[in-house]
Amino acid sequence: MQNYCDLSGKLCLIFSKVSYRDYPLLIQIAILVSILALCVITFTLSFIFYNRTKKQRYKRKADEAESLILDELNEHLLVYDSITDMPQDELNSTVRKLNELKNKNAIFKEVLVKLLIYYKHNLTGNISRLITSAYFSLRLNEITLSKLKSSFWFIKAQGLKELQAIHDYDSTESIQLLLKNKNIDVRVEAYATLLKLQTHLSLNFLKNEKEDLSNWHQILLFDAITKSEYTEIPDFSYFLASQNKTIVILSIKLLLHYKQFKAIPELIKLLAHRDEKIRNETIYTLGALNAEDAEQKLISIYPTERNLNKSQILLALGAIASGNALNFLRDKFLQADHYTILKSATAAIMSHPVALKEKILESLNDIDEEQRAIIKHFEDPLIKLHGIR
Amino acid sequence: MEYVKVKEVIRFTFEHGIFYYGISIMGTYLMLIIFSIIEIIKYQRKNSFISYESLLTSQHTPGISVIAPAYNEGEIIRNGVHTLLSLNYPKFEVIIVNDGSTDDSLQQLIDEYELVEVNFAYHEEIVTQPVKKIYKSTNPVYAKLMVIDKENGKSKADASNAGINAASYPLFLCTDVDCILHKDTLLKMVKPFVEEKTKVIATGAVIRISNSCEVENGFLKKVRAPKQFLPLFQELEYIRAFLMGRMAWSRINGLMLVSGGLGLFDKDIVLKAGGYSHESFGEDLELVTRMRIYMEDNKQKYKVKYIPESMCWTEVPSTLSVYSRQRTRWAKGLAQTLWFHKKVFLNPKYKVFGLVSFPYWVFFEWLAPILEFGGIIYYIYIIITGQITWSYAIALLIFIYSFSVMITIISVLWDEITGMKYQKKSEVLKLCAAAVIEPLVYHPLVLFFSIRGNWFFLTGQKLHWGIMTRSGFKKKNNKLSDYEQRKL
Repeated sequence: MQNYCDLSGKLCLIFSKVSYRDYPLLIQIAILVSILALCVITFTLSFIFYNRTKKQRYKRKADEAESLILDELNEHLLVYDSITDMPQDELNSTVRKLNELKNKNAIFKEVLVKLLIYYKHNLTGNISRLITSAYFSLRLNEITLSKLKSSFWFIKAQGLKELQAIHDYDSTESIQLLLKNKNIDVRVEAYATLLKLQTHLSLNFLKNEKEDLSNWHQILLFDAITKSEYTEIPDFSYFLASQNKTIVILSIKLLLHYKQFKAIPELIKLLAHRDEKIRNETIYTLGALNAEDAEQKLISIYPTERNLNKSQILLALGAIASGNALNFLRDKFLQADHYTILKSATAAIMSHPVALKEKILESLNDIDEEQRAIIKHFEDPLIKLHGIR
Repeated sequence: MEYVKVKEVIRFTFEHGIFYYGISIMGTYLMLIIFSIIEIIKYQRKNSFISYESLLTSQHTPGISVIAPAYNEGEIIRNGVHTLLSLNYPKFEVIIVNDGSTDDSLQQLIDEYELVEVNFAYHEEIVTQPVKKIYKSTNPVYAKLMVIDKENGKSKADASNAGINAASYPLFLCTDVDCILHKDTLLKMVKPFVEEKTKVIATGAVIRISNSCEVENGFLKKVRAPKQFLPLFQELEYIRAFLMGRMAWSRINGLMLVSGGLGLFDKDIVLKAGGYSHESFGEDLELVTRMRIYMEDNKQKYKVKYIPESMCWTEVPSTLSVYSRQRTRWAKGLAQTLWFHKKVFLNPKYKVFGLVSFPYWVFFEWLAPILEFGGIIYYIYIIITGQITWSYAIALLIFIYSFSVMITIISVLWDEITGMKYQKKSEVLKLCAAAVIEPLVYHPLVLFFSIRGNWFFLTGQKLHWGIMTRSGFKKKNNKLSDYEQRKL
């Protein structure tokens, strides 16, 4: 204890006697950084708890707003089957009350937009139209449209998502302005929004888009096009000549979705495309479209392709299953130098009608254990081989 | 006289060298914080308007094979598989690899999921211990499930490789049956694969600690901060590593580690790289390193991405004996990987990976504990010989201490901003308090086991595993398997 007191006494003496400037530069830096670190720690700790308190307060207010708005919606609006069933006085009074709630503060406004979009998204028919009507009566569309003018790209994208959800058909002019936005995410959201709001399908953007679309963008656009209720579907083979490879791939996917068999000759031409991914997508699509006309071309390009596309060709021939390519498949099965080829050739043979399949299997007398095992694999009803593609 | 001069020069060099080394570590950490903040903001903005519904309903979503090795997991296997089967994703399969369990894990699976042996043509693209049987369910409800029964390979790597060999889909998620995954794990982790125009070869997400969480039938009911000291410090370590470190590396495409507990990989690249290494003690770090080498050697553009969302909860060691084995292995695995792939070090051919990430791991992950240990010895020496200037020494200690606390507190703040996982303020306060004492209480343990791991590596000593108990949300006396401890 005595020693400890001596030591701490000495330390106090040391620190009190020497001023900051007397320390070597390295120690001066260390002291300075320590002070800065302590300031950052204090500030960060304060911010953590301030942020928590702020978020909790926000959550409490948002919960309160949600409960009040939900009561109003459930008791006065969503009890009616359609807007025509709702007495005008009742409609006016409900809108007035919701308007009062909306004008209380920004949280109420935000919650109201969120709830109406949620209901619109999850309900259909007359109730859905009732919600749209309330949305416009409360002029919430103005909030959404103001987001499109934001300088932040992600706010613009949020606005576009809201327009998609609420089906604001009058907003197409504002959306058009975003079709040339420099941010690809905003552009794709704008395309998707227009696709969902247009009454007839216009795919001009497919011609004009120069930047590559990611798979995510393709999924969004595919979803927007295929879930819209158009009366007329364009011929997607028109876009197969696009210079943008990703647009070509998207068009092939759409072509398959709408079963545009008349595009098969164009697809066969695409088998000579220099991009491997496009060829792969084309081979798959020809198989899925049962394009018997493409069989010979598929067989002819087989030797020049790499394993991934070779495997896809075998699977496509299996999907077409005309029986014309059975000898080719049998040869590939027997000569396979890679497991993927063996697997795909077997899958292709096994997907043929029973009579044709049996004939080939009977001719396979001298096969090794691996080949026998893969045949058994495909004969097992519990194994569904997914994922070659 | 000469001797004194030489001694002075050594002392000057050592002291200044250490100081500037320390400054460069700190500078690097500050850079990582900045990169991490930029990356997280970018992620949050990108996800502020995203609906995963399109991905969930699309026929073009890539399929995923979820691979979960299991060894003597009888206590939790049924719940674990239920959790995996209920993931929210349109196209996936679950492959459980029973790695020669000596308990009734396999029988439980057979009974619970109505499994029967199938004629699955198992192709050994990566060499593993022999596969005995492969099972599928006769009940269509469990059509996504496949169970591989194989001989014990004494490593998680071997079991995972068997799962990869049998996987049908182009992507696979590597996890463990005792990991509790968020239901949207696959949807969120697959997004970088479909979103990036450059090929993504792996993604990881934040792993959290489940030790004190409320869990019911394999599903997470309530997230709680760990009650015990050791898991609490590890929680801080995880937050720091995942939110600060890995997000920053993801930003500059320099990520070298995707944790074994939760990683989504491109199967084709993994197969070309040779799968998990059976010999490595840090097979997750080693795999990503090898995948990157493969991509760079073949001049293919690629990315390794991380997402700042907590997707997986796992139990960490709560006793010193389990912890010591885990950390010793990690340190040995790190030394092993860096030594094995030394050709990457400062090699311009490997770009960011060779010039930034790999040297970072060498200088600041592998070398830091060794230098720190040397510094402690030096401190002791100058104290004993009376050469210490106390005021300088204390100023330097405060400097290092305050900086490390600052980094941890900023990580806690970032965790709050990205997820706010803890409901109570008291839990966050507990984390902050732990951050204050961590450098004094916990860091010496990290240092000791790191030195131990390096010693084991240098001397070629083998690591032995005994039977250990785990506490937490599972039943008592649940034994940790060999590779489970490695995973932790």
